[in-house]
Amino acid sequence: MSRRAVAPLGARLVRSPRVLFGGLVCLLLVAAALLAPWLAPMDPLEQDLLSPFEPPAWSGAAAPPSPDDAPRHWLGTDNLGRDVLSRLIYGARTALIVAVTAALLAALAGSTLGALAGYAGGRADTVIGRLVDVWMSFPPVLLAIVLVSVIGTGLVSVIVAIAIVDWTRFCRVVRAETRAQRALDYVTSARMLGLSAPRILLTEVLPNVTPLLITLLTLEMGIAIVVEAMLSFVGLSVASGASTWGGMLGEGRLYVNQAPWLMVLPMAAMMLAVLGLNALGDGLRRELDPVVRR
Amino acid sequence: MSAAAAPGPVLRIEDLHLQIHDAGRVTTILRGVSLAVPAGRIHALVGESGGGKSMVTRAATGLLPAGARITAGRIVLAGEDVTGWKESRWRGVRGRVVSMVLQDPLTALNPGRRIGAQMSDVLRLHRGLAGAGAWAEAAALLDRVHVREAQRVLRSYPHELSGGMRQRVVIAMAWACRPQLIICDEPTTALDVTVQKQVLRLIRELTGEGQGVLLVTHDLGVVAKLCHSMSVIHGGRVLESGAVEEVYARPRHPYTRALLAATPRFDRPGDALVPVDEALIAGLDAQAQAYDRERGLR
Repeated sequence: MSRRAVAPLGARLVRSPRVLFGGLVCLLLVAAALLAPWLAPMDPLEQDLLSPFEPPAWSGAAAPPSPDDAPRHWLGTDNLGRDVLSRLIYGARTALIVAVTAALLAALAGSTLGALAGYAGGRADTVIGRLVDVWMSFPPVLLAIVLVSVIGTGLVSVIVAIAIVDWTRFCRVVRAETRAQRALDYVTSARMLGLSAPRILLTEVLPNVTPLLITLLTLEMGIAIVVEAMLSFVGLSVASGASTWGGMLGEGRLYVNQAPWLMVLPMAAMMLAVLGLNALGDGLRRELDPVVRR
Repeated sequence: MSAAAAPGPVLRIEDLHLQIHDAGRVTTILRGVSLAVPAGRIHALVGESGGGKSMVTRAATGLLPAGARITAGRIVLAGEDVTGWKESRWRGVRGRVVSMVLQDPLTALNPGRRIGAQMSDVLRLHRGLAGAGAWAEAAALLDRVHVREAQRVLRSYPHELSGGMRQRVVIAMAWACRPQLIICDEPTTALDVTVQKQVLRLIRELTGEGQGVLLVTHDLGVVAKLCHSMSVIHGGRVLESGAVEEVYARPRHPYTRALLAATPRFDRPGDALVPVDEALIAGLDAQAQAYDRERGLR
């Protein structure tokens, strides 16, 4: 049996352009979120009604007359004269909190149910399977909106809503994978040796599902960012004063003819974040999955 | 568990009938299988694919697939009637009283965990060993199955070992708690010929400790060299059983004769090999169907 020389995982990950790009974007996102108070040039909520709609610095010639001692707004200001860059940086905070916690919650709920369905089979599988089918027949965004309007707005509600809407994604994948793993000889062997079902799930099945879970988790984080933005856009997320990308997008929409950057910039931030997370997830999958890796 | 040193067989299967119910369709798999594995002996279960060999091993370990039902007969394991046991009762027995070595040692080991961790699991579960004690016992077990550099092997992942080495590890795990019955399901099919021989020798050597072995195989050469008694199974029925020398010297059933004629013999190198006659198989299938009709089975 020939044994191919395989570089250590760490080295391979660093060499993968997807992982590298995605990792850098995520690092940027995390840095922005953690260091927001130090990175942001201004208070994101401070209004400066004397200089609204200031264009980004790069649009040069169009710079409106402003007092020389006024602080520089690198990405311009919005309708209330708030600094767009600072708001974007603080927005990353909300986005990341929502993305991480919602994805983790969804993963926890979904994989638990999925593992149960996949391992136990029979009636449990039927019930959970039908539940997932029914769940997925709802339009996800609509479901999230309905949920948030029922349980009230706020950060926690948004996170819970996203987890409740998206657990099915994990459930289906983990169920299928658990079923596949259960049919493998080493699970039969483990049962043959007398290990109990929870133990087999934890030590035999979970480690072999983990690469898949990591991938799904990063993808789900991207989705959570978009859903949070949608909820902010319709005004159902965090209180309107706080900086969220979706909220900025929603407000910017009103002034799209005067100040297009108010819509374009949060959109770009969101796209970059989601693109980065997807690239990371895709790259990880390629490197962690022995079948795709060739 | 009753009398560990019971002189009777460690496994006795009597007139076992088994059906699989799947979405309203019923398939009869076993039609009255009887066999016995005495302690300290190797009993071979011989037959072609689809004959019900695997289902017998599954029934004897309580690992029947979903929808499988035992409709008649009984299974007695180490003196205890285990027919229709629930999963929770089986769990205390598996690994301790009965254990199994599967065909492909690569898939029988968890690819994501070190050998030492996997062996420790079994020792902790059934023998209450943990940490260094479990590790030392695992190393001793590997020595017992002639694995050199036991310490290195314990720290390895399955893919880092050769096929023969992996099968030794699997055998060591199956032997870990000195179960009274070990079922070997085609233990050498996935191995190189040279390694096959070593693994078979190992199984015979370990059987000297008094365990009964049920060896599932379709290799009659292996049966001749290794086993004491045998059952020939086809279409879910035992066609012939007895001591190996007896069956080889005077096969009574035409199917056994056909199988033997289709196997290369070192002691008769000049003989031509004869493929198993299709008419014979068709006749057996017809008999199986007639059997089902008589008993109102489907």
